Amino acid sequence: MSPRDDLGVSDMAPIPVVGRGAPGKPLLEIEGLHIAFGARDRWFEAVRGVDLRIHAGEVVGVVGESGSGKSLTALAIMRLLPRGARISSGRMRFAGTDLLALDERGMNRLRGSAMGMIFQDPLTALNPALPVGHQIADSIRTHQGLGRAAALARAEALLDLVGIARPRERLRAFPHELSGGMRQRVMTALAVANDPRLLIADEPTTALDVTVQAQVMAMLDRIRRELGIAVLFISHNLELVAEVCDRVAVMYAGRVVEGAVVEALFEAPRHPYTRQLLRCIPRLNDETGPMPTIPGLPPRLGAIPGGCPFAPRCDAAFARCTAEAPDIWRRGDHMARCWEALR
Amino acid sequence: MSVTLTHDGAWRRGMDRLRRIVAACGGPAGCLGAAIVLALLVLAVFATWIAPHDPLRVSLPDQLLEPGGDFPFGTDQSGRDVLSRVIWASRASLAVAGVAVLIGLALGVTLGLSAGFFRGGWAEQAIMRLLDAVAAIPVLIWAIALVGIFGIREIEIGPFTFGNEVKLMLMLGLLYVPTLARITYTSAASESQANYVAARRLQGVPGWRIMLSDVLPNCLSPVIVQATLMLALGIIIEASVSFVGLGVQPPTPSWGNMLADARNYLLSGEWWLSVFPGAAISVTVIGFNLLGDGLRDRLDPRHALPTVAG
Repeated sequence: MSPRDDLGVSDMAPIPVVGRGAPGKPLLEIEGLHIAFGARDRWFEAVRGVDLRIHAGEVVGVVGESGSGKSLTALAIMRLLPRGARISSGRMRFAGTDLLALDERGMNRLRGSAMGMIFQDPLTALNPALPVGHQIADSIRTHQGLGRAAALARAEALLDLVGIARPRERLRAFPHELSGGMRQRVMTALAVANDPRLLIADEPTTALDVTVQAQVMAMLDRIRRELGIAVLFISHNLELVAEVCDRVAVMYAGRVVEGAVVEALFEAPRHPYTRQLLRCIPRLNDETGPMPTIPGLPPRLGAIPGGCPFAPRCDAAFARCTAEAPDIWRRGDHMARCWEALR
Repeated sequence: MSVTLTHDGAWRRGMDRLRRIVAACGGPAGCLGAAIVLALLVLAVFATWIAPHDPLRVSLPDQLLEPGGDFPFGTDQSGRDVLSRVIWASRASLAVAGVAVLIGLALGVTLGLSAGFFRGGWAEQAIMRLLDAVAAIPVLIWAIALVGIFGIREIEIGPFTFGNEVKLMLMLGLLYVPTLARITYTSAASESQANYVAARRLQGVPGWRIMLSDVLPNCLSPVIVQATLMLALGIIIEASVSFVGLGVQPPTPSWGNMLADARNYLLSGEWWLSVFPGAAISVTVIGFNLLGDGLRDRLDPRHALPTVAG
């Protein structure tokens, strides 16, 4: 018996989130992704049917609170889930390859070459015992079979690309000799070292302070334009998402609850969760008053309520919301999983 | 300082260099340890030229001479020069301890690293429990028991003859494995959870290469410190085993068997027979311990003492 049956997950309709005029087959296509945590016969689903498409060169944002399953989804694409978690069902295709059918060696060929990833904490993501140039060169040599000198020369060019001054000297620097922003730049250099087609950025600026954040975001945006990389940008910062993304998926309790082109999502959000999230963005010129928040907490793993999981916290919920899992409202490439939107 | 010697740059540069060397050994004590160890290595390697006499030459007219003149450390009951014997004995001690630690490192680090990196399997449990069982009995007891079982005769394998020292090296080395493996295991297990290991996986690097090129360098500091302290332990054990007659066999000098010979003269006044080999053991062990402590201060920031600003 699969964990999905235990939890009575029923609706699995794929959500077509088509990019802004992007033609042809998507670069990455995720359908009905389910990820469960557990052991033996107790399984809890943390991701409960995520559908996501990313076309070549496109920036797709995924936003949601902690625990909404956004990072797990990213790790699932890399097939490197934390211990105890596993993909219980779903399909993932990347550039024509079925990711779930690849063996470990096949995945290792993709990781760090066709798919790069940077994540939240650049402070700990570099090996403290090795110079950064060595680490970048090592990744290049793993995937491209270059000689040491050629790999180091390429590493130097990459450091230059990510905007590190005096790259030749920095090759010999140890991670502790670099600032947080510089380390995230080094991580980015590592992620794009082997010409990826997709870059997964999991809250790349969360650990940095605001001014550095802006610099790193500008750098990421410049690089993905220069290299033509598609980006899956995971964040809980809606403003950042608004700035850099083409399309956005909002996740709640392991599902995409609303997906749309970025302007549509910000101007005419259909899901009350999205609306309430947008209301929580602090503005300096607002009239004084308490900062708006969404009352309550996201449901705990294994205790996700029936019906719409957001209903207990929703300001627009009505009787049907707690009774039945919502159908999908859809207009063009805008979708929302909400009864209120369907009314 | 009241006397200003000179403002000469060379002097200052020399002092700076000295300060850096001292800091590299983990402070003045560690530096002293390093100096002692270095001096011992020189003695052992160049014993042929440094020792004033042949350590094995028996000269009955020179029996039990007091220190002085031609024999600065005196002579023993066979008229052999104690100074030369002490110098030559450093070879046996350092060789046994050194080779044993190398064997222990090779096996212990390999086992501990793989058990720590590939956690959660039966192999991890099998390796670590077996090592726990070996570690339950003290190393000295093991060493004496094993030499007792296998005897002290030379073993000939093909053209090579292995003296008792070789057996001692092998045994000590094997007995070092559990401790070194456990130290490596502990750091490898925690380092393997580190973010940079996950990052390396995301770069598509296979597990065994992450283990060797990323986890291993981060586990080495405590292992190096422990290995240094084990050199000291090895010297004590070699001396102890030779003292009870199961180690380095006469007439080859060893600090342990020299002390064993000196036992008969403890009450009759020939103090130099026991004092010099005994002092050699003490100084050597202190040297390695100081060096080990210094390295710990240098390599492990958690134990670092605040440097006194001067």
